[in-house]
Amino acid sequence: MTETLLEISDLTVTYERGSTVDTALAEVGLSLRRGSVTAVIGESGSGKSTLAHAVVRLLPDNGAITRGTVVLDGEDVLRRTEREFRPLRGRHVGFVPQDPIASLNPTKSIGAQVKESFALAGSSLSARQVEERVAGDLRDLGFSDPEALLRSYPHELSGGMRQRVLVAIAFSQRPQLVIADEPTSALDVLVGQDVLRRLHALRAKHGTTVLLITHDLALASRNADDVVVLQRGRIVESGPIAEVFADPQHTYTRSLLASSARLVAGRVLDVGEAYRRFARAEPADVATVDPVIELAGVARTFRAGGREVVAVRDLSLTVPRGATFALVGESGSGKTTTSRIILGLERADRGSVRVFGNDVVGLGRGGMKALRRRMQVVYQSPFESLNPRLSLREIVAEPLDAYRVGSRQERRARVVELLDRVQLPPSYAERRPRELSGGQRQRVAIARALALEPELLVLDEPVSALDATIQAQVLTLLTELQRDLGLTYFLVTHDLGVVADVASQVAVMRRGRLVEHGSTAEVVLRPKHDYTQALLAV
Amino acid sequence: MTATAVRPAETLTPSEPPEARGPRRRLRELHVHLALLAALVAIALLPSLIATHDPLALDGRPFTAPGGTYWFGTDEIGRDLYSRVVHGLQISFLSAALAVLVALVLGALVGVLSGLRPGGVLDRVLSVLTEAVMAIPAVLLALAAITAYGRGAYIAAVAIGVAEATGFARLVRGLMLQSQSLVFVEAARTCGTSPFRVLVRHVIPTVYHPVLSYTAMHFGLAMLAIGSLSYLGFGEAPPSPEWGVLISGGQKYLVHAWWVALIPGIALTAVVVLLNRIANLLQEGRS
Repeated sequence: MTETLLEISDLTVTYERGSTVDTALAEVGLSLRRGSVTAVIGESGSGKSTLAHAVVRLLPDNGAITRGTVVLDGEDVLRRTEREFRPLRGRHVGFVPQDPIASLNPTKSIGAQVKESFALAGSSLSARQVEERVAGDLRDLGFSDPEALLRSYPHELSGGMRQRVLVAIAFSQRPQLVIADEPTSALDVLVGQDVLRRLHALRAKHGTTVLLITHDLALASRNADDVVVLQRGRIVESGPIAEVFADPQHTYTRSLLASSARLVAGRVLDVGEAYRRFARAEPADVATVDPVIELAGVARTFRAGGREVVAVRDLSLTVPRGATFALVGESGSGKTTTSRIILGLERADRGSVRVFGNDVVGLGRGGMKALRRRMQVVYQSPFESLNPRLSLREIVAEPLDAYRVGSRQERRARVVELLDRVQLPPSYAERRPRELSGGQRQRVAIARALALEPELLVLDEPVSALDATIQAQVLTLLTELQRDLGLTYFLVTHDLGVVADVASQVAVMRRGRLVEHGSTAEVVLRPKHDYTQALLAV
Repeated sequence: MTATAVRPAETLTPSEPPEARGPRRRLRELHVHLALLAALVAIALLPSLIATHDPLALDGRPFTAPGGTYWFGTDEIGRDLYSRVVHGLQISFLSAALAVLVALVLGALVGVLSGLRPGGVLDRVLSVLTEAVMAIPAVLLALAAITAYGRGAYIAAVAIGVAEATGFARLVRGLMLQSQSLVFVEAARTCGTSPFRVLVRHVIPTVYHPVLSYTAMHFGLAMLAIGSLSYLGFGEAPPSPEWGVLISGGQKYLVHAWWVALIPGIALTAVVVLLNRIANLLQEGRS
């Protein structure tokens, strides 16, 4: 046995898109030491997922490996035909996908799907041995009752449980190599942390080599031994992660590291430290003169098909003028419902919702329209919130048209002014969203939200769909806009890093209730509730 | 690892799969089909341009076989079959167009109104009405209309259109519901755009595709339905050259003068296949 398990050299992958051929990976070479964890980092479009898929030869139909070798355990697996390659998947290479929801068959029990992986890999184990191994693995992964789990169906499991099942499947054949493609990015932070911890335990137990694809530098730094930095399909830097992060050589690596406020000199800061170093918001007065939003005893329950889901229960909070108020929570905590109640898109079952002193619940159509002029929203995904058929001019002018602000010429001039405000050149006015990057699109969404000169912006996860370097730029822009225009921000997020960066006040929500709130300094530096402490420790 | 790993010179993945070049070919095929459809529309609007004879004049010997003067032959009383088929296209095509237009306008109106507030009073009333009309076969409705207003392809067409409107209403309502979950539709509403403007500017341009495809398919079905009614003696009446009439008139002579029934039959089949193919191409182009 040699020291190296996987040796990739000169790997080039292209995608055919219409009449053009894009190179997704160019002459990539890397080698994985047996038993090590290697992180592949890079922003979206850097080719990291293509790399993962090329190794297991699961590229989409328009993708082709045009050059290179992938030598697994001494054999160039690319020279095998598809038919000869198939048994390698599972038996020698396990794969943990990004999306645990799309990756399990909803019509089959978990047991059937786990056992299927043994059949597909042509396992020679007896039924009894299979059962024993599966039960043991599932226990290692933290399932106390494997038998009950095997009888259940995917819809009965949470995202974290599904992902742990997929980890069990990936490890079931004791492969030498496991490729994990963004294994936690679809999960809540605490859940993701738990999945990774258990994956590590299994890996250590069986001496498995892991290729970890991720955009999260902090996660890479805590989980990997080596790192490979990809930029536009090329490896710009690689080596032991501690060395690379402590002393990055390439400018791209440096800019990546600089964008992650929580990585300093190769070390991950906790949120509190990051806050002390980087917080941009002035500690705001909690004394509430002239509050912008007042919620008192707000509750909302959803009923569907005889089931009741309590999204928000007895929520009270006050957002002072000029503050950046962050509502933090994991998925299902009720934070999005709360923001939709404030926007008047969802009604509250109980309680009072006052925005600028107006009771949103009793407001008629005309009143709501007047209120919306002062309160605008920026959505999470700029890929979905901009109509792909319209030009940027039409998108940004839409609120101006809706409220018939000024003459035609004035509106045109205003669009240019707004684009300039979000640092986009006027020539972009005639472009369509697809010609823009994610960060540029989010700037357009912000320009649209600013068109009516609102006093309050509801920011629903405004940067979580963006790459790290872009996140920092958009947050800087938001901070500048707030300072120049005197805006109040109601920020909904799951990311405490963002909170530490820009928020003046924080409220932590869990299962529809507020567990803690106060100034950012108080909550981040001296958390009182266990849940807040757990979130901060991630 | 082996130091002697040989680098293969050729592309490792076998030649690209056929789907990779699919979209472009599909678009070309769609263009060809649409050009054919445009030619049919031109003929339907101005049949006398390409007809060689008067479709009603008895100017030939009965049962002349297809040939130089009478391209498709003549019928039992010596009328030129080619000119009759060409003029018949006008009736078949335009009556089917009327049926589809009625179905589309009525169905879209009902669908949009019920999709504006799903689960509201209007939605529930319209849904019950739609379901009630759906329970009546289109042909029965057409027979009722003919009984009340007299024979004719255009009367039958309006009745068929009303019956088919239910399908359009369902489809449009579904698309309306689907569009409510689009983030940019909600974004438009939260920045103050009126519901009507959201509909025209954001919803319709985004979801019209399936409606287009459904329209093309129902165009063909309406042609068949109107032809069937005429064939059974409820639509157009002889001496009209409507295709259903031509087929039913010619079938008695099928053994010794096959062309009289068969050529209009082939024409009807070809046009319906063309419309169905367009419907399919539009549907596939979407996905």
